[in-house]
Amino acid sequence: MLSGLALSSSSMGMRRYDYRFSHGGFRSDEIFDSALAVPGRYMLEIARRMLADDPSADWLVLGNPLLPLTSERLKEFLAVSGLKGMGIATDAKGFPVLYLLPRSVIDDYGRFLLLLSTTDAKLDAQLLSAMLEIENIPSIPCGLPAVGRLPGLSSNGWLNGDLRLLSMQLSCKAALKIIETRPDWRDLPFTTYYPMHAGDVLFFCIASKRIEQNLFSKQVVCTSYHDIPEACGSKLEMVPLKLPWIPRDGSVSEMQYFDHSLKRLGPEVTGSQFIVFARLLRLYSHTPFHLIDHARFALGDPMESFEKTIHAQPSAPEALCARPIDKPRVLFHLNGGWTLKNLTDDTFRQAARSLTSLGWEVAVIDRPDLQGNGVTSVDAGEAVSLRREVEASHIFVGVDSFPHHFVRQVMGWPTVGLFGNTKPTNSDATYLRGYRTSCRDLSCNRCGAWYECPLFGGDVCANFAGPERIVADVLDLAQSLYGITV
Amino acid sequence: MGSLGDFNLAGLKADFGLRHLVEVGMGEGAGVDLAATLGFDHVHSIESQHKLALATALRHSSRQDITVIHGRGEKGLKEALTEVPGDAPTLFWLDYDYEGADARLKADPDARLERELRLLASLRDLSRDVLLVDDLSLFQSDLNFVTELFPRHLINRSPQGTGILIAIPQGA
Repeated sequence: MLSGLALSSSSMGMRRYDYRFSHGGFRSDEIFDSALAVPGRYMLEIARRMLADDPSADWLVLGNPLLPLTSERLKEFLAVSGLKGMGIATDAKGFPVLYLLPRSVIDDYGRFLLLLSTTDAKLDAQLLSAMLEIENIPSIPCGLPAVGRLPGLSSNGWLNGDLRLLSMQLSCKAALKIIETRPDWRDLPFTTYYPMHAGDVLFFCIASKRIEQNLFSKQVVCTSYHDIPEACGSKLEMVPLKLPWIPRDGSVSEMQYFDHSLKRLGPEVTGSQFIVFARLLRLYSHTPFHLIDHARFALGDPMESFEKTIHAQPSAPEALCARPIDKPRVLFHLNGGWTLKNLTDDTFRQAARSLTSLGWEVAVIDRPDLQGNGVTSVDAGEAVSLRREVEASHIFVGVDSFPHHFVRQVMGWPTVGLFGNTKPTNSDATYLRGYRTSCRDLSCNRCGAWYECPLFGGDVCANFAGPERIVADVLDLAQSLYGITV
Repeated sequence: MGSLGDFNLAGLKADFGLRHLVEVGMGEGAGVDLAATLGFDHVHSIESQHKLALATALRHSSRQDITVIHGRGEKGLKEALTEVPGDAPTLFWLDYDYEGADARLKADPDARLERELRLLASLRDLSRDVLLVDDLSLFQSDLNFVTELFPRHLINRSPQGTGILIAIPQGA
């Protein structure tokens, strides 16, 4: 539940607003569920909605999105806290429950809400005090017992398994330092922190090209992926992060890594822009939304209707291979970044054997161990080399990973997307003539595992389509787009 | 299997006015830890094993003068050399056979060394640089291309450990 109160001194009225995280209904009481948006982004959205509905409101109460609060409860907590002006009502141990803010904060400093920690009321009060040059903005208990340590996964969908929500305290502290030391802080850019992995960087870059209300002008990106923003025409200036990407095995927590990232970026960078953490803060696979749309909401778009989503608006015009069709070529990519996202070598070998016997050239990205019997391994480690190899191929077949997304979302190339233990709807593309996805639609998808199947054991995801389906999809696409017949 | 610690690194740095260090094959980062104490303008270290690269990178995250690059030799060298001034004497330390090294990268080391040195030669003037190549026993050929690429260097092969090739600017 996301909630707020709009207070109007002219009418002496209070209007209550209750919203839910949207799972695709796009109703008027729903707010887009973005896994990449900080709680402050939801506060800004709640405020925007309330002010659009009640333009006369001059004070707003914004519930902390981390807590499942109704407007009825907000009203009670506000009364118990006794707040009469700007301030933060807290639980018994200083965890922020609600923020009472004049509307001028939203009008003039709306995007600065993204810098609130939403986990430490004192820190947030300091930030607001520094921004508004008002001494001692209070944080006052409101009768709620201590909410305690945030769970790994909260009932309303927030992820804190590795203390990642505390990353926002680091953002908040860095922002406070800037505001306290730089008179020009109001003019400094906002930078989104989404430095890895390749597919996710790409999604943010694509999102930046499609949004109407951008709160950000820069993106922190690991240097390993330095070529991606330019290759897809990102509207966000890249801030290079010279650190290897975070491993997926949990050995380094998101907060630890973010802390190291700020150190690595150095005081010159962290002191000249407001860096907002944007790594996964919610479970994205519980929504039907594409990760590009998750990023669009995080960057500032309200995402209020289906027509605005990536599934309703293709990213790139469809393209076709200009090579003659007498020797059709298909390019495969098998490695998805974690074990259960990889297509097995055996499935590939069977599909490749079938296609080569039908006269196809089969190439595979970066798998010299699979060469032979008509299969060649090609280097496509960077966007330029990937583009070159794709342009030499009639059809691309790839797992849920950067090449698949680049090839379809940026190049518009004929693509068969292969999904194992991830859900197509979160990272597929608009279903036009040249795009289809393959999987077995097992009900265990999405399991959330990375390395071992929790249902059957082993390191293979049973949800992947078999070789016969992959070959059929390739041939079907080849026939409908190029007139290639067996 | 040698390490940078086997050398009098501070002496080398002083003798040849070395300002940068570029290391290929970082391992657990002992070389970086040592170099971090010696006042190089910048240390670039390249490691293909992600876990090893990350651990050392995080250990030195607040040091703006140390960059750990996760990647294979040539890609890493290209990235490093964009940040090494062309006129700054540089120490190149190439180590293919360290604890935890990626077995794929040890395959055909002669060809790999030649590719990496030719890349270096194509990207900068090597005349003031120092080259150290560890584990000579790994290589099958006599590495004549080193002489070709470092024509004005004095090239020595030391039997120390598993053998080290040392190329230093002549007359320095």
